[in-house]
Order: sequence, then C-alpha cells, then structure tokens
Amino acid sequence: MPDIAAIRTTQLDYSYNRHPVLNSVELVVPAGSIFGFLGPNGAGKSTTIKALLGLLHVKPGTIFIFGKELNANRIDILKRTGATVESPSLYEHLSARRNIEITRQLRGISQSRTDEVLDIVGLYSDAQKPVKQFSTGMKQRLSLALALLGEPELLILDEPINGLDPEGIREIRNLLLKLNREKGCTIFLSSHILEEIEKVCSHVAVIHHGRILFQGNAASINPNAHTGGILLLDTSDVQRCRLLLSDSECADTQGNQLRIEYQNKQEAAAIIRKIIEAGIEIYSAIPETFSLEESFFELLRQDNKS
Amino acid sequence: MKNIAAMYALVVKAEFIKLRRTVALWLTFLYPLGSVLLASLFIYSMRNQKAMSPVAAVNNINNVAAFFLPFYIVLTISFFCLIENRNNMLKYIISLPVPRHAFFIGKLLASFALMAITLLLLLIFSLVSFLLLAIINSKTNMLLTMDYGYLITVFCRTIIAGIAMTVIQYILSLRLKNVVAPIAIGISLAILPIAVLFVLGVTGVISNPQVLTWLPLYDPYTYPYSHFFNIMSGPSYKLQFLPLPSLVYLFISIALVVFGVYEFNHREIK
Repeated sequence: MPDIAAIRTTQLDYSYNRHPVLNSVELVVPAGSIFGFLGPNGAGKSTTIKALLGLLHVKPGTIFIFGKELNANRIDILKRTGATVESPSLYEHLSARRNIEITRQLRGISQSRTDEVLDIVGLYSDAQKPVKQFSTGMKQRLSLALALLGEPELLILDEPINGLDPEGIREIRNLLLKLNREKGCTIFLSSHILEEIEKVCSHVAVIHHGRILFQGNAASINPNAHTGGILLLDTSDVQRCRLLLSDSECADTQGNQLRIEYQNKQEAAAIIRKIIEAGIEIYSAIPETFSLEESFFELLRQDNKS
Repeated sequence: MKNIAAMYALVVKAEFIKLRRTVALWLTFLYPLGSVLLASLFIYSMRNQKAMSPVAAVNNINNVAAFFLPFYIVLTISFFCLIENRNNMLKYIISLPVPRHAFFIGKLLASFALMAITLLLLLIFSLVSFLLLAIINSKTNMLLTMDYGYLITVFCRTIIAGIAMTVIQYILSLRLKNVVAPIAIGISLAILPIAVLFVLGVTGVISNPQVLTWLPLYDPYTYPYSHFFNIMSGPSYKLQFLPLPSLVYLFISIALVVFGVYEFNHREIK
C-alpha cells in the first residue's frame, strides 16, 4: 500500500552540546496538506526542518519523504522538494536574477523558469536590483521564488511570512493556497504567526521543548477535546442555575449565558439533565470553540504544568 | 563519471556567478597587476645601469609575486568562502539536490580556476610591462630576447607552490564561519616562520644562508617564498617545473582534499 504521508518521521532525537533539542519527534504530514508547524522560539522547529533537509544527522530516527528513506535517497527527494531555512538565505551582493540563476544552474532547470518564478512572487521588475537593497519582505519573496524554482511537490518553508506587510502576507497566503489547490503541492511551514497558520493550514503540529504536543487536523487542536471543555448555556433563569450547580460545575456567567466546565461528555449531559429537571428551560447549548492561538497557549500551559 | 564531471562543472559555473562584485575577484586582478607594477618600477629604476637580462627581469617579477602569493591566497580563499558563510548560504546550498562532495570539490576547483586566472594575468601583465618598458626605453627591450619557456615555467612553479596552502586555507575558511579566524591563521602561518628566520639570522643562530632556502619548505604557507630564495641562489640553480617538494605538497593536497570531502559529508550544518 503506498504511503500517503509526504513526510513521516520516527523517533527523531537531536542534541546540541548534549542539550536535547529534539526528543522522539514523530511527524506525519499528509500528502496534499498544508501543514503548520508551531512552537515557541527554541522549541525545535528549525532543527526539525534542518533534519528533514538532511542538514543534520539525526540518530536514532528515520525520515521518510515521499515514502523514501531520506539518507539513502537524499538527492532524489531534494529534487522534488523546495525549501527555505531560517532567515532568507540569499547572496546579497548579487541581483535577484543572479540568485535565481545560481539555483537554476545547480538544479539543471531551463532558463525560462527564472522569469516565471520572478513573476509568481512579483519581483520581475526588481530582478536586476542587488538583493542588499531589498526589504525583508522582498527577500522573503525571493526565497520563496528559489524554493518554487524546481516546481516542487513538497515545499518546506521556515517562517515564510516573517517581515512581510499585511499585503505581502495576503499575497503569500494566496500563493500557497493556489499551489496547494492547483498543483497538489504539500506545504510544510513553520511560523510564529498563529493567525496565519489558522487561515492557511489544514493540519498542524505543535512542538515544545523538542516534543510534539499535538498533531492532526487543524480543527481538532482544542486541547480539551478528548477530556472535556466548556459549554455555553442560554437558560431562562441564570441565577437559579448558579445556585443549583456546584462551583466546580459552573465556571462563570455571561449575561443570560452560563459557562459550564465539564470533564467528559457524560458529565455535560448530567449537568444539562439537572437543570432541566429543576424546571429551568435551556434555549441553546453551544460548546465554546478555541481559537488556534488559545489552543496553542493552552497546550504549552499544560505541557509546562506537567 | 560523466555525470559527476558535469555536476562539478555546474558547481564551478555557479561559483563564478557568485564571484561577481566580490573582494576575491578584485584580488585576483589586483595581485598580478600589483606584483608586475612593483617589479616593473624596479626594472625601470635600473634603466641607467647595466642592461638587465630578460631572465633577471622575469625573476624580479616572480620574486614579488612569490612574496605576495601567500597573502593573496589567504585573502582570496577566505573571502571566497565568506560568500557562503556570510548569509548562512551553506544551509541553503546543502538543501539543494547537489551531493555535498560536488559542492566541496566544485568550489575548490573554482578556487584553483582563480589561481589559473592569476597565472594567466601574471603572464599577460608581464608581457605588457616589457612592451611598455621597451617603448619608454629601448635599452630595456626584452621582448625579442625573452626566454618564454623560462617565463612560463617560473610563474607556473610559483603558483603550483601555492596549491597546498590553497587547499588548507579552503578547508579552514569553509569550516570557520568568522572570516577573521581563517585570515588570522593563514597570515600567521605565512609570516611567523619568516619572522623566526629573521630573528635567528639577526641573533646569529643561523649563519649559513643556505638555511634560508630549505627552512620555508616545511610550511606550506611559506613554501612559495622558497622559490624566491632558490632563484636568488645563483645561476647554478637548476630550474625544474615541478620540484620534489612541490610534488610532495601535491600528494599532501590530494590527501587533504579526501579528508575535507569526508569531513564536509559528515558535517552538521547547524
């Protein structure tokens, strides 16, 4: 059966000067997904990306990309991959066009592709300018152009929207969505900007202290999804509900709404039953949804606690 | 084999694109120009004395070139490798579908190509200088009596003498990210042995001038100086295209390249 994961890692461990940076990292990036890789500074995001590109030798641990083991098939895999690592890596004394020419030569790609990628990232008119005169946003876009040069099936982007203005962020977002939709390109991107990840990514993983705290569908990141959550109840008598329920059951009141904290679904059902049996009407019961940002910080908080 | 050669050629081509507007490229032009200019000024200053032989004129240029060669190599190779180290480009380059050894060897070949350009420029500037000297003063017309075989041999063997130090400086520069470190190491290795020789000579510890001809042989960074001293040691000196120490240094260079490729293949690009 073919492996449907574009990236699959098993037991990735890595240490800098005996300080563990990656701790049994197991990632599964579904093919065709836009995968957001989240984590605070120093969590191990860039180290993971370096490992995925074969810059670091992770032992023990295995990396499979397109179903092939990385060390044994590095060149074949990298031919199908485009990447940016850490801050935009560019030859600043050269023009944008020369920067692309260098990569084009090394990848053995036809010359016409240079103009294509310059056009895609909107740098065609600035192609002759030395990169040192570029703004951070322009450098980010040029880095992306270099990554797109080989028409990759997998894009690995390290903080691709850092330094971009809102317009630039929107352009890059639309470009990534287009690449994913039209070319079926799998995109693995790390970012601090959670709002953007939320807008773009179909899947996310959260890394903290070198350990994966969560990975899966972006919609299922709610850290309390398995154990419980918060229910917002619109009732006919909030005050009576407050008296009826114990402090541990009732978290708060917001106008006519009651915030109920529950540990599991059975507990939520029991609380609702208790209110109805007391003759109070419930007009609506809506589970409180977490934004990605809230979920992210909740995951970190839980990890720090443990 | 054909594929590997083609890959090396691609890397060399890419390296030459990177060289545009760099200190390394400027030095490649300035070093032969400066050497020839300095020697030519000396030759010109001797115009009213006994006519200088073409061999002596070539030796003058070669002496200046041999003296500055270690500094030229240290600076050029360090700045050439700085192109990768300055903007974290090594990470990007290694993430391209190019074998690490191809990048290492390709860039080294580009370094040798710079030295070949230097040699060519040294020859061209020398001939232009001889022509200009002949125009200024017919007494110094050496173009007609020039031993061109000698001219090429002398310059070639001086540049070849720098191959081992080129390889060492290349490995150092690609390993040490801060450009000051490889430059400081290289300049120290080029100056210290000569400084020690000077001190030993002044204090009388070395009384035999012949020591000057063999002592620099043992440091690849001062080996180019020995060509300067050998040529000065008189007409009895037999000029060889590839003297034994150069041959030994070539073998050492090959061993160093093998070591360098192994180290680079296993390096963690952090």
